[in-house]
Amino acid sequence: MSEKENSKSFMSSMMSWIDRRFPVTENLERHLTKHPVPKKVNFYYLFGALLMVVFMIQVITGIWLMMFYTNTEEGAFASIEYIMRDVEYGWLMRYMHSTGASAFFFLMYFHMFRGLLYGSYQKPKELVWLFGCFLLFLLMAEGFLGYVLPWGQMSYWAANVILSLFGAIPYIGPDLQIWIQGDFVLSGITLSRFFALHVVVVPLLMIALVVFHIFALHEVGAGNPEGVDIEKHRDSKGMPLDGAPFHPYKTFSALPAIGIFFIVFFAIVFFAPTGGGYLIEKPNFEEADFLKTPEHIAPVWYYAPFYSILRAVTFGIPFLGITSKFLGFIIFAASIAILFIVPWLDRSNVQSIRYKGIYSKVAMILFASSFITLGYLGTKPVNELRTLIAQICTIFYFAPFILMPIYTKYEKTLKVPDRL
Amino acid sequence: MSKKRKHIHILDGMSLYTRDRSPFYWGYLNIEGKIYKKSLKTTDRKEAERFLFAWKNEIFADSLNLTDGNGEEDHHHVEQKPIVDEKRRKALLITSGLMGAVTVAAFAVPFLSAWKPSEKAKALGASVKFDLSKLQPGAMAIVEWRRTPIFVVHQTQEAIDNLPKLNDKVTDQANEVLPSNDKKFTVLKGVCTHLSCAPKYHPEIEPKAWDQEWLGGFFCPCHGSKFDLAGRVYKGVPAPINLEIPPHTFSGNTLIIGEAA
Repeated sequence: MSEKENSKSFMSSMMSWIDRRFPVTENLERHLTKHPVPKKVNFYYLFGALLMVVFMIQVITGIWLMMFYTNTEEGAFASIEYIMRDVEYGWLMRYMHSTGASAFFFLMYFHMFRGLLYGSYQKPKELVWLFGCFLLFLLMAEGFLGYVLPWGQMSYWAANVILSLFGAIPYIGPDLQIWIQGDFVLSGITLSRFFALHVVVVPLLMIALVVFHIFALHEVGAGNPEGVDIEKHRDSKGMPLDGAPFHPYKTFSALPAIGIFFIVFFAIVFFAPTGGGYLIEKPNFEEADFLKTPEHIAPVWYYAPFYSILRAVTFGIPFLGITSKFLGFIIFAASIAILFIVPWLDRSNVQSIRYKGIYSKVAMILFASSFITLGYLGTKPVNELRTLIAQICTIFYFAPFILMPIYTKYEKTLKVPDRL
Repeated sequence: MSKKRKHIHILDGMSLYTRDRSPFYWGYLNIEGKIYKKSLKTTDRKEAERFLFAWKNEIFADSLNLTDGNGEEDHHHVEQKPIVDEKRRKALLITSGLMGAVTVAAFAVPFLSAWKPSEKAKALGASVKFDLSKLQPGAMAIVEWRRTPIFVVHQTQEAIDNLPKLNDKVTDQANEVLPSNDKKFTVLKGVCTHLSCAPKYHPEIEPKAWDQEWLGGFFCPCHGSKFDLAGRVYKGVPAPINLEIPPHTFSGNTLIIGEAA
């Protein structure tokens, strides 16, 4: 009946031909042009879009690097030098990829901190948060695997430190470590499998999880800094009064942010690609040497907070056969695992930190400052004072989460407005 | 505000469409030649689809009720409840699930095993044999095992006598590592426990720049760590612990490094 109306032009008839077979228009409307998002949000809500941009940078530069990289013990380091010196714009590809890794973590940490501040994990957004936490875990694995590939001194010895953590697991540890390495020492065999994991397995899982993350988000709707539910007030067409379609309103407002991000990103790529040894560490410009440990093994900045937590555990539980190294591994794993259960720890009746009570605010300040302090300590050699500070900061890292069910339940919250 | 009108085909005789003045989806049904149209009162595509199906079922149910009341001849049209053997279905699900799990597990074996050290890696990491008969007292041999230099020292009688005298100078007395008359060979990893440099072998008993009362031992030139001939670390040097002892065993005059005794 209304077929005639659609056959006005070639384009629209073409679209309806496709839509009949593959729901393009429906999905564009569902996820872009008719997907309502809150009108008023702040800069914290830009990190998701920027993360997508960085993910794309990593995939594209990664594919190009793969065209020149050699994944063997003999060839890996030389192939990186080859990319840097002989391949046209190879240096750009590599520095974009290495800077992209840092940018990925930087944005990820802010994106997640936004989630903690504005309760972006609360019912019904639990799965959005969980998928995001899995993405953090995968990103950490991806970063670690990728850091081994240039086969520099820090690649080798940092990987040794991390792999020896698996070796510290009671009973199965030593065999597990050999199984992961595929050799009795960290060798070219390990390098080859890390390459496969880095370029195929983990990125595929990440893409799947990004899709899940966004589908889940579009099902429950994006949040806002006020924690107001925009679905409550709608116009006659069912559009939330405090909402605007994602496209064009949010897509275009993200463009300047992407522009600013690119300015900072390329400033680093062009002028400070090694970031003074924080983005690419100095020992990594030397080929891996089995017999020579670098003076000081430090992780890249984005792992530093977690590495600090690992090192802060200087004691074991001897009667359970748990060494300090293994206990450190457990606490280190717990520092990431605890993020997964945050949706069930928060019992507040409001979402946003703006309307939560004083305890929530203090907890967030403690958490953020201890995270930064741990990050600083993780890049420095240990001494007694630093270990003590790291131990205190580890407690302050965990306390806001462990005590969350108590303080969020009993603290006095403010009344959330009805409209945004 | 003219919204583009559209028509969405669902199934034969079932479609959704939009109208100029209405924000909602409208339903269109053609049931055995009879046309039905109405507003579905929703702007959500998925919901509209659900309403459309519900509406169709409603019309069907009504028509069945009508024929029911009219006569007996249409009785075979009345929907019969399908007979489902839940028990059988459950048993089939469990058995096929188990079979599937077994298949997955069986397929996992080769893939997980491929990660174990290959034959080549095993050969390179295998135990190393060393003939001790040619090693004179006071001499040291360096044997490579798993990419690590292994020091093998044939202790002299002098060294055996001198080593207990150093008990006060070392951090960890570790008497079990001391050589004796029936245990004249010392096997050590030649890697400094400070920063993995290679310590040098200095068996001479003479004053040295680093120690006026040197009774022989290992000296690390990188950061000045001192170890005695049994690999015990001196006090006050950067290395925290004694030189490591690799797993090893003796078989007659042959030393096997890589196999625990």
